[in-house]
Amino acid sequence: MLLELIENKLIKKTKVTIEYKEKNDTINKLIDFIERIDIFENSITASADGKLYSLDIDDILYIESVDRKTFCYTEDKIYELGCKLYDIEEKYGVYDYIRASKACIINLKRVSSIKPDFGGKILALMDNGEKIMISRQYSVILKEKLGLGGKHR
Amino acid sequence: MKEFIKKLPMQISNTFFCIIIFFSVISKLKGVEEIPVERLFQFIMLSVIGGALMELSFGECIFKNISDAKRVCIFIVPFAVITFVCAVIFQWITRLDAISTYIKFIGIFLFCGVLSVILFEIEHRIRGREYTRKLREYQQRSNKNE
Repeated sequence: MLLELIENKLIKKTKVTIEYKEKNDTINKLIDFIERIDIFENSITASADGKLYSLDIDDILYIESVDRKTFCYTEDKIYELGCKLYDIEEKYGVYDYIRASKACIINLKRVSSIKPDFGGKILALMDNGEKIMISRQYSVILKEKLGLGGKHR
Repeated sequence: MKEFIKKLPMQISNTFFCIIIFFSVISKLKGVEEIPVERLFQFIMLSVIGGALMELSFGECIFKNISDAKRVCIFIVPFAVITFVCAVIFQWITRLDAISTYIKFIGIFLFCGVLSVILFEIEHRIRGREYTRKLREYQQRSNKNE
């Protein structure tokens, strides 16, 4: 099997092309493997009621650290994560996760609206109606990410 | 606390500016052409208290996640009481026996309070719309990239 790697800084997402003469077991395994990588990268393992769940990162509204434990909140359930907040930020920061405060990371995809607040803070209304305050320090980063200039009052 | 001390001078100067503007307007309406120097010092003293109250009410130091209206109330009620005490001590108001003095005083503070809430709300809503629009654009871009 010939492996060809092409570095292209102009593309936004990595593209994997499998060129084959005939689809066989090896090709199917290869496709299966690549698809699993994608699922693995877009999911997070969490526990609730003594069971382990694989959650799609888009289903999570926000992740919060309480008493040295990390919890993630979906629309209908709270799960506990086995990792720290900074691990999440490091691993999923490239997605749509952004720090709201020292103890909270929110999923920008699950924010329904945002509004400025006093002291340069931003109030985020989540899809489930919960309100999360983004501190001044992190609202600057959010503004930059959204193209709002990053200036604060 | 560090943040409170850092932002305090700015709040004091803002409060001082507002007090000067306010008293200038009132003085002009009453036909008073000048403000005595000692009154400026009285205003500075009131501005220090007002600035501290302002930062306490609108900063992150004590009150978190409360509405604009509540913040304005937390600021304006004690500030009105302190201003009234200062007004009596420094003789900004002299007719303490007239009920109209109290009505005017409360009226002015109520008007300022309501106006502040409305202006804050309007300003936050306008900017909020722009922020949410940018958020939607970001979400659309993010979905397209998937």
